[in-house]
Amino acid sequence: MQKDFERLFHRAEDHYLHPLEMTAFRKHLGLLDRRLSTYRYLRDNEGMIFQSVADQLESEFPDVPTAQLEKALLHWISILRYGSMAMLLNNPEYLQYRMLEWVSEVVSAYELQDLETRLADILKQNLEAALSADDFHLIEPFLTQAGVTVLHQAAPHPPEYAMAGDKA
Amino acid sequence: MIDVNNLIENRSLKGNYFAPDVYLQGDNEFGLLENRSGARLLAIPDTLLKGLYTALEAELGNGCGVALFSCGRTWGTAFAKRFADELAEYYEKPLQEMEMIQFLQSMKQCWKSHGWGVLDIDLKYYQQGFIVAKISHSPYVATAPQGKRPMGFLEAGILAAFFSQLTGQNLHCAQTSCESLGAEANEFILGLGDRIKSVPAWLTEGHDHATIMELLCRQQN
Repeated sequence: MQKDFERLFHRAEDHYLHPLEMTAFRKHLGLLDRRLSTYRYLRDNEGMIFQSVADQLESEFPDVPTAQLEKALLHWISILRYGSMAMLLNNPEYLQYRMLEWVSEVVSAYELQDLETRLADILKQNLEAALSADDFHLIEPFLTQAGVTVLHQAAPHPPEYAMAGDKA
Repeated sequence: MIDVNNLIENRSLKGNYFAPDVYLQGDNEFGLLENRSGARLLAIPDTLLKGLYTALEAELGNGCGVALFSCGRTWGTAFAKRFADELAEYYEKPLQEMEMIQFLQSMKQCWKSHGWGVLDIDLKYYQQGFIVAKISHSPYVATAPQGKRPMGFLEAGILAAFFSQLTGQNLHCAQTSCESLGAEANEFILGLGDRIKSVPAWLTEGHDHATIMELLCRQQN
């Protein structure tokens, strides 16, 4: 359940929502609509997004075995799937528990950090180019969250801000 | 050249089966707690665990450890089977085909989501015939009598059962350090009974986990 909506529902109880709460509700609805359209874009263009990442990765890492590249790609395909749903739900924990904590040790065990750090960079750049700035800001916190947990990158903002998911 | 569409079609993209927000489910009204496959879970209060230790120690004295180990082993055998079945169903492949790292991750997450503490498995000594398990924040040890002797008997039994099922060998498990004795974590060595039978004696002589591992490996060579 969406945490931002949940707060409003719980607050309502015995009264109609106040004008300010109505405004907040409308804002969340608008955001949800935008999240949904970003989600739809990511879903419909998954193959294209990652094919371009795969091509670039193959040219930059010609000596890395294909199996390794595929493994790294699969990790980030999963991360983006779970991350997109986390964006839709506005719930960073969804991504954290179901995917990131799980995959981070796998990445360490196969020593894929360097490869996946570059992969994450390319993915981020490609998404930034493909999405409008506002839409990119919806998914960006979850990519950052993945970078922090899986690749041990420094958090650019305090965690609660980086993981808020409704920056835009 | 990598074909991403082909890659997506043929490989599993599933994450953590044991993610606590989805693994633990329940119905407050009926007082039911179950996992995501519908298997019943049991919440054990600290008081019950404390009572279990007190009663067994009063009845059996030092034999309490053997009884607890045996309980852990019996229960762990059934649990290992359920673990294998549920994972096979979720990831759509038998446990034997699962990559070792995926299996170990599942086991660690399983341990954590059940509230049994944080498990780590070290396979560094696998070639010598030993597996080392380390558990911190163990509720079983936290409720056990403190400052006496290693008290992770239940966990030792569960681990022995788990890895016996996995390897198809009858493995035993010995604890070498314990939170109840002030250690940071509970360390366990798994191996064939014959090979780790000297561990209790070395512990009595005051050797620590690292030294015991060294002695075990030397014995193998």
